[in-house]
Amino acid sequence: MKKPRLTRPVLLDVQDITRLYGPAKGCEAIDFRLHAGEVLGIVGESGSGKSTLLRVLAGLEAPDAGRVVYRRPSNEPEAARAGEGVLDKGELERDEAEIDLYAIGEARRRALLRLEWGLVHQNPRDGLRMGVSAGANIGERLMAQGQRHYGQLRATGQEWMRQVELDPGRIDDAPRTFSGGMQQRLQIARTLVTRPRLVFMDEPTGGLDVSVQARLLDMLRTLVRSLGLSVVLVTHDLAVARLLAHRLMVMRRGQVVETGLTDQILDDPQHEYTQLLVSSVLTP
Amino acid sequence: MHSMTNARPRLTVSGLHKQFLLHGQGGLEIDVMRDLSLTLHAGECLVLAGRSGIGKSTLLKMLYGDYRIDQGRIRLHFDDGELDLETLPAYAWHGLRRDVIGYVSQFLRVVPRVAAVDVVMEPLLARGADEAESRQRAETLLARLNLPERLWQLPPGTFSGGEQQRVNIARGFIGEHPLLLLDEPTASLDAANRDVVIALIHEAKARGTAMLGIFHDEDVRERVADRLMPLDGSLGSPAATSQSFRESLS
Repeated sequence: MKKPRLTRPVLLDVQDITRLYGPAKGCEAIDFRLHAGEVLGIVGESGSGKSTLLRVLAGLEAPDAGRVVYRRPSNEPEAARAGEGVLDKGELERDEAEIDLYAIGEARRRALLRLEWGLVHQNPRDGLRMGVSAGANIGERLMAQGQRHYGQLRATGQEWMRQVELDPGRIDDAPRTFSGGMQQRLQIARTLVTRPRLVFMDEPTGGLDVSVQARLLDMLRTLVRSLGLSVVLVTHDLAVARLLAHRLMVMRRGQVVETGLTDQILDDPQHEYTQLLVSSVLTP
Repeated sequence: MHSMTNARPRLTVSGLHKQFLLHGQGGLEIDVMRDLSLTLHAGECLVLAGRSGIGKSTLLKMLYGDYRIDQGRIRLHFDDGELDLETLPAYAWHGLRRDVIGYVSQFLRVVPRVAAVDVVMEPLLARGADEAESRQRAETLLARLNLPERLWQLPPGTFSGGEQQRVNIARGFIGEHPLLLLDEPTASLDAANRDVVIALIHEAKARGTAMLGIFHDEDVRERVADRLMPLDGSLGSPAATSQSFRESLS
């Protein structure tokens, strides 16, 4: 039997990030690497700084100190990965191997978010355009990539509605006529339709009923596997973290107190705070 | 029986220690494992023996990455080199679990509302296997384990203990991992299904799978074990047993 190949390239290199609004408010000295194909969960209570950290990582908020470096996979044929259509990369240089997120300008950062990354908000209303149809919501990021063919955009929209278990017959309906769970699935379709390499998720199952959560969790697991996504997931829910994340970072008062394999963090926690957090969960 | 002494081992464990430190209980230290060493070969089933409640699962959990390895070495041997688990970075574990180490635990942990057959085929899909083929293999295994066909499309959350265990066994065996950890896989099964599991273990041996198991049932133990590994000397604690962190708190 041959030794398995377990090393994976680093996709996101987070170097000593600090973003503080006040003492212990925000995040401080965060340093880690996300590898291709990994789902990294960031857990902690509200006020732990996990959402601030996610905003810095996702390019929405500049840190006071530190760097976020995106290492683009180089040996993938661009067109094959993107599926149909030709990418209009414009502001992004094709062969750039390393991108220092806050050293590039605002326009290039936005292009990166649009072309290669995705962000799923806790509240679908923050990620969707509520006034336009479901189909237009899904098609928007594709159009930003240069796709203009109406029939093809519509077909892709319907295909993605099926993928996230929405009725494709409702492609012309506005998201405001959808339930919360349906809106969240639509937001996920809108984000993943461009096949982003890296996806940030902020409490993606947070505002949903428990019965709707389960279905969404299963869908997310399937999509992560079938699309080979790399994900940074912020959640306060340890059960969600257990089911989705390979690896966890535990945050408290802006700092990382413990990191490790998800099962290790939950079954053999080392830090006093992690032990408290894990033992405080109610198990029905 | 082929000569195991000449064969190269697939797994060596040496000088393993495990201690839990409970901050919430005034820094209580519980020693659950002292200086445990063993060797396991391809095609061999080694059964962990010892009093019930001394924490035999602890070793399996350390091998699977559920528990941290504080002291000692766990080494996997391959044709082209070794892999030391105590120094393996966290990001590498999911690949190792997908391709090398399988685990049949006592309890099933799944996403609610996912059908039994989907639970079983997931380890194959994780490797990028064809969906129709994976489903076929999952159904074959479930049929062999006598799980009624009407249950295949239902989520196992509401199944009986024995039915859940059979789903769990099918999920554990379907991936044909070269190293398989078995934690009481026959505990809540009737005689007919115990026989099926024993047959699955024998087939795995014939494929060269190395297995490390805990079996409560003496009859099963005698039928699958190539060797017994007595653990009374290296496991257990006068203060408490430690099945898991959460249980050790209560």
